[in-house]
Amino acid sequence: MLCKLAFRNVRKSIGDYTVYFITLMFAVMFFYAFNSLDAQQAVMDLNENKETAAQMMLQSIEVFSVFVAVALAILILYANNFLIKRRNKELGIYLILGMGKGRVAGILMLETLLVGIIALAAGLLLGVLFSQGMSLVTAKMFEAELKEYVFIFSPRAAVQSVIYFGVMFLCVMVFNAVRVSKQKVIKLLHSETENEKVLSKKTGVSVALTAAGIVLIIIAYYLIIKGMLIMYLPFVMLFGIPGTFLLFAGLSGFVYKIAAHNKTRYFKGLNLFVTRQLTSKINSTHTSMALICLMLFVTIVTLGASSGVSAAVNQETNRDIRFDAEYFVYTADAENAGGGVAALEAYGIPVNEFYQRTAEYTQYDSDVDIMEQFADHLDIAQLKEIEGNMKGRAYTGAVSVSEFNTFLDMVGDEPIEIGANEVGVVTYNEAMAKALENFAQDGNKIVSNGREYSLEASDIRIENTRIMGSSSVSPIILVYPDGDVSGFEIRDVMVDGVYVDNVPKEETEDAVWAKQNELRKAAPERPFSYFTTALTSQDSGIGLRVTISFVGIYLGITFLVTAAVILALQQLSAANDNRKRYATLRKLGTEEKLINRSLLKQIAIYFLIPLAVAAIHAIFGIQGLMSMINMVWYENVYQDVFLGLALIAVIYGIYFIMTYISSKKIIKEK
Amino acid sequence: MEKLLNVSEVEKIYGGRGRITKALGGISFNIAQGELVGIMGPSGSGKTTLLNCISAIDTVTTGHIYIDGVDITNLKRNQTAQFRRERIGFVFQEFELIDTLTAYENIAVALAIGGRNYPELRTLVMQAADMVGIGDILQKYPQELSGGQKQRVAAARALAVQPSIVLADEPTGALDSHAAKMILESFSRINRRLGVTILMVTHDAYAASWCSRILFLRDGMIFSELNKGKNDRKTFFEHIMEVVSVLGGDSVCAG
Repeated sequence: MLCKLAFRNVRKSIGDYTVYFITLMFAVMFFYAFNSLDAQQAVMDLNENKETAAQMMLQSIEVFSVFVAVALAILILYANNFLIKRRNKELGIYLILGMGKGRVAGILMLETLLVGIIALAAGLLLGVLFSQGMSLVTAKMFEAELKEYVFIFSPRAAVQSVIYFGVMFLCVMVFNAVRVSKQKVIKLLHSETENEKVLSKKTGVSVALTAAGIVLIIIAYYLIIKGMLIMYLPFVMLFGIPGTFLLFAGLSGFVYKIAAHNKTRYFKGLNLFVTRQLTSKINSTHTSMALICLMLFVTIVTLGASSGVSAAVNQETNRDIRFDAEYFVYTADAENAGGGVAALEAYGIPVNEFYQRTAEYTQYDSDVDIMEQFADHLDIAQLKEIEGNMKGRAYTGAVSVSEFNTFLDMVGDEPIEIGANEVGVVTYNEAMAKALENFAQDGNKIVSNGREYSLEASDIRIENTRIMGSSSVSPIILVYPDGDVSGFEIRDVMVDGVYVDNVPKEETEDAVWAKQNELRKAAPERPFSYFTTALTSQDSGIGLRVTISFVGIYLGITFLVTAAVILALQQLSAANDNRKRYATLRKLGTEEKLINRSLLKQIAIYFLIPLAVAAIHAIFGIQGLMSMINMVWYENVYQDVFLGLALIAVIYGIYFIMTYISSKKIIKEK
Repeated sequence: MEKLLNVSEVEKIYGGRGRITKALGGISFNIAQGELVGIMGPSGSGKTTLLNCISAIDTVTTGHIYIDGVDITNLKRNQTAQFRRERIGFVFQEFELIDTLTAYENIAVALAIGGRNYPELRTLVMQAADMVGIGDILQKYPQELSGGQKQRVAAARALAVQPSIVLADEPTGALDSHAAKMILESFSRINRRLGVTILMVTHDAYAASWCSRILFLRDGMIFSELNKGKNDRKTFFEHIMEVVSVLGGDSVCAG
């Protein structure tokens, strides 16, 4: 009997269950899809480096899954709470008919279980389908071939989803049972007549609150624009977060003030009704609206910035590196063997067999303090980067011109020509080159070795001198006349090489690694501290990029669904309260068309306000974040940010349409 | 006198095959311009059904209802909505004020959905508020008003659209005796001074005694009719009680 009742109830209130059900389904689907990445990468043809990178990504996803699960659990409880509230009267009638509280709780638990099982099954099914498509994207991101097309199913992820969500449903069931057993019948029966407080604050107070909020937000924006996000992040938050809350606290009065300003428009059709409905709703939910706004802001920044950062990593990986391998040779070994290449050959590496060309040069630390001599020409972001990368040692690098010209020659560039008391400059990014060009054109001299050196704009080169991340290189390397570097401290002895071109690079790559591994077994004392190749660096770059992208999308979607669900439920419970008001309007002869339009307007504005504020926040937030990334990678990534926004629009849109349709149904009820 | 409302042979039958409930059984009557008419009857006598049919909220099964010469049983769906908001003013038992709107806006919204422009709207709201004497509470929300004040706001809303007829469904049902008397006085005054036609459904004999004529309904038919004529209200009230005692039902105790 209980079963039958539960079954019928779910079928009857399928409309109410829509938001709850869709949310559960989405949650299970994404949860499964992201946790099935292990199965997805298993069918890909990954080399060793990419394999390691994939492991890194899987671990990150696993860690964040716990966080996501907690967020989803809270969300599901919230949605469930709304459902129960809506059915208070029905439950009260069961109780009045003499059904025991235990049995009523039993019905509720069965219903929860039923909806949960269906949603879990549907979500898993969608998740499996979704992961098929996702595996193509994953493969593309890993720049890997699929071994062959196989149907991907991860039993581990499926079991994990079932366990996580099973526990969540259990919590919901217990929560419902406790709730029913604690309720008084009279309260259940009359819960519909309880009204929320609609009286609003004085308009003047509201406007003042909003104005204060806007001022705080503008201060936060100003700090970001001034490029101070990095240094003053706590201050930006200190102004931005309370600013947002204040903005929403006063928004109801502010909206009313604007809407009622033009009386002719205000008293046209249902405009005054829409305004009052909105302002009373905003007034009673302003705290959660501000929270939703901040959540959406985080979503946009996470989605946008993760694709932005991954694009920047991509850019970093695909830097214009025109050689294939680099060795950091020990100074002592190089001196003993009479040169870096000679040292490698002495160790047993057949340099000529692998490389068609090599270049070697010694890099020194100069005595030129960047902070002291160039500070006036650098912006805050650049200074901050230098401070961060150099760990306090803010000296430029130094190389001798003839040695460095062998490198330039290898990569096919014009040699640098300088006279006595002249230096050239090598840097890896355009902004730095620009700053130095200004420095040179202003006629500044560089003080070094107790002398003054002049810098010609034509001797400034943008070169990627290292395969290993550009951030490990001094941002400025000065090219001195031979002999002028002898007083400096040696930092690295570099040997760079270009692979032979009679066989594919991949083959040489494998041969080099094989040979060196073999040599290492025989003689662990190598003449170089570090060796890397362009191909390896690319693979690990890919791993970093994929990890950032997936974690960003995973978290972004979680935040987004959370925000959208809260908004949707708030509107649905509002529709519940509004039934009487719409009934009155109908009795007064309002056409159905007008009523639907007013409902659409209310929901649209209610959905759009937090999104609009979040979007404006995000423009500045991403701007700040990008300026941090740009310092290192200089890449324009707004395209990807807009891609992130498109994803938001889709999910947000689904919830918006669902809310409108459900609300329309609710207000038609008698 | 001119016939403002003409109800002609109206039948209303609920239910389908087998189970049929006749709510109105071929009822006919007229109301002239400027009358204040009461409809009384026990529960289930068809009062509310009749009112719903007259206000075009419900459709009749057979028969015709003419208001100002327009047959409202033949109106199309969007015409009914327009008819309702332009020709009929409503006063409900539970006031039906929108709690998020101020008293002023509650009156104004009825005009706004009818497409009146702002200057006209403002004048009509102020006139209507003046008629029922609520000029001082227009900026308050329904929550801040007493039951009697709320019903007067509702009455102002009904009057503001300058309707052909005001339909009041148990307007004193949710009020205490003092507030009830106030609102009935307002109705009576509006009816006498401005000649507004009012049709009031009630099962309270005291409320009915303010009317000029009363139709008694039983089982969907007109059972009896009383005219106030030259009687004073007290005598009229006694006449009503006599009919009610014959009519039976719950009206007896409601007096």
